[in-house]
Amino acid sequence: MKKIRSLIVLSTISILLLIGGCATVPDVNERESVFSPEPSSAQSIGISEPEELKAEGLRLEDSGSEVDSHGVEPSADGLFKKSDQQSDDMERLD
Amino acid sequence: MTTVFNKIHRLKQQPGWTWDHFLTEIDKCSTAGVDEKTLYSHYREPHKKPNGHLEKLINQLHDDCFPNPFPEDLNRLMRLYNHLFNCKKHMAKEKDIQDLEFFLQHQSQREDDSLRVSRLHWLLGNIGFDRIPLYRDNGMREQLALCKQQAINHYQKSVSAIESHNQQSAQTAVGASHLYKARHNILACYLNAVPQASRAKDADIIDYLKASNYIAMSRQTLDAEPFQWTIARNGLRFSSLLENEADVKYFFKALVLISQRFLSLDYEPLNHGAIGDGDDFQWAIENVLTSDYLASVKAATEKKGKGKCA
Repeated sequence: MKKIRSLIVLSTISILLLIGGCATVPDVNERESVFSPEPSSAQSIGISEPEELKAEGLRLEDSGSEVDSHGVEPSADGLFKKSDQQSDDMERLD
Repeated sequence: MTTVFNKIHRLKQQPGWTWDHFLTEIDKCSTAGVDEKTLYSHYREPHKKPNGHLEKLINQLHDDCFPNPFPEDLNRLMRLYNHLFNCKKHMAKEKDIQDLEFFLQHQSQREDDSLRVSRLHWLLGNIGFDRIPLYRDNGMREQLALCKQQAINHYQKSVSAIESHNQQSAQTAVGASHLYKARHNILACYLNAVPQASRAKDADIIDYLKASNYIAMSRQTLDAEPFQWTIARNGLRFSSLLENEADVKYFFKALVLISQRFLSLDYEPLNHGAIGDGDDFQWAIENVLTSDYLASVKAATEKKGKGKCA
């Protein structure tokens, strides 16, 4: 009986957690729908990306660097992620 | 980086190095040894990627037979930097590279020994070299121009230090292959700084190519070590950029001599793209390496092969 009771408790907690997880998704969508214009309409009328989102994009890409957070110098750490060496660059010799 | 293919060839061309002797030398390094067929296939095929065991053994043998002339501590520092640069998971990689660069700059000013000075500048050159594609691909022109020039300056200082060492101590002179490598890196800085589509028309590349005598140096190096397919491939690339038909033919034939697989312009040797896919080779492909020309080279190579068998 004890085992069955604990199973019921566990499954109830899991269902509650699942519902809680799903409930956060609309928040994100809602935020996106408020801040980001439709890409096609924004491009067609020449509206630039909102400053807040631009700043957030930079923070996400360069989050590892102290210098970046002060906005003094762009970090090459972010660039490492963005740049793949061209297939036909000359390799260096040691 | 010298490939295992090149190292096997360099070892094999030493006097007395038959395949039996080669395998005996390998057995001295490791009880596990290497299968004869594996060794031979790596000798014949420029696209073959060696496993860690073979690579380690060949590197060890090569280092024993052809010791690096530069101080071992600085060679190891260079290896450490290569690992750092190639590590994809390293956090704050650029910050750590900047710290290393700071140390190297100070150290290079304190050193008196020419070989140490040369190697420190070589490593500083490598750091600048590795930044070039990052700045190029992100359109950071000022930083690109600066790091390209810094890398070139460091490599030039490295060359000057080697030349100064060779003048002072002829007995321990650094071989021509190392000078070739440093000059190759300078040219690579010019080339890599320009996006592929614009290279054929870039005045800086063309001017440096002509002034540096790179094609003639490549021919000399290939004469000494005809197995160096990367030198032949780069020679072909620059002959194409200079639109020189005779040089294109020379370097293409050198490639085919190394492996007939190069007769196919779709062939991809280890860590390199196919010639047919490279923008730098377009002039050569359109004007020299036509299907008729490729067929004639193939026929001539087969005829030569039959002549040898007979």
